[in-house]
Amino acid sequence: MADEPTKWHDLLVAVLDHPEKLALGFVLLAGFWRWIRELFHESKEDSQHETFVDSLLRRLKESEQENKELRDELRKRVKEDHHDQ
Amino acid sequence: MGRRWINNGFRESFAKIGTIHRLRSIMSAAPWSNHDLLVSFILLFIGLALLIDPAVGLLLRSYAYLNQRWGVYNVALLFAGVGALSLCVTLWCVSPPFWLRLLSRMASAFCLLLLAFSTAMFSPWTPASITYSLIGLWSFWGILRTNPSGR
Repeated sequence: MADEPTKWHDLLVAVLDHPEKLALGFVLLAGFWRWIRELFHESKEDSQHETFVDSLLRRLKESEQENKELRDELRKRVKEDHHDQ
Repeated sequence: MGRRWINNGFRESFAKIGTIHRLRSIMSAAPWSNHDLLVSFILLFIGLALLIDPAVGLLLRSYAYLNQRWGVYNVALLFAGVGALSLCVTLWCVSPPFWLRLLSRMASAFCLLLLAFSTAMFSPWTPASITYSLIGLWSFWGILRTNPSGR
């Protein structure tokens, strides 16, 4: 236990005595963090892209259904008009 | 008339060069690329100054630790190399890949943090150590805000 503060102190002195290691540590940490975030973001975007495509397909089906209904309605009207004449 | 045409033609063709166009857009609408450009020039000029006159590095307190540790020429080559790489990446007319831009920013931030920490070892702090620390901090932040798209 008595050695613990000395160890920490030694570590601190060792780190501050080597600015190149400190600078390299900071830079690698930041670069690694940025890289990991980018990878995570890319995978998230891919999954979002799939849902976007899914929603587009859903909208396409909805509009097809709507078109079909409108066509049917139009045919009915045309038939009714012929019948009236 | 002819002279004006030559001048205008020369100016237009000069402006069409990718690097010149990029330089103009940096100066007008890209603050972080502006920072990258400044840092590249600082590192390149420090490296070249140390290569041309190594005695400068031996006299200045800022470089005393680094010179003692690695030698004047190695420090000069490191700074000039990183500065040149950063300059190429910043001024390239199309956006280089994300990993290259990140690597370039990491390298320049390393050099500036190295200068900041090695000058901060000595007491009292000089204006140079404060300047290096601030530019190093900005470069460190630059790593964190490197965008995968754009510059």
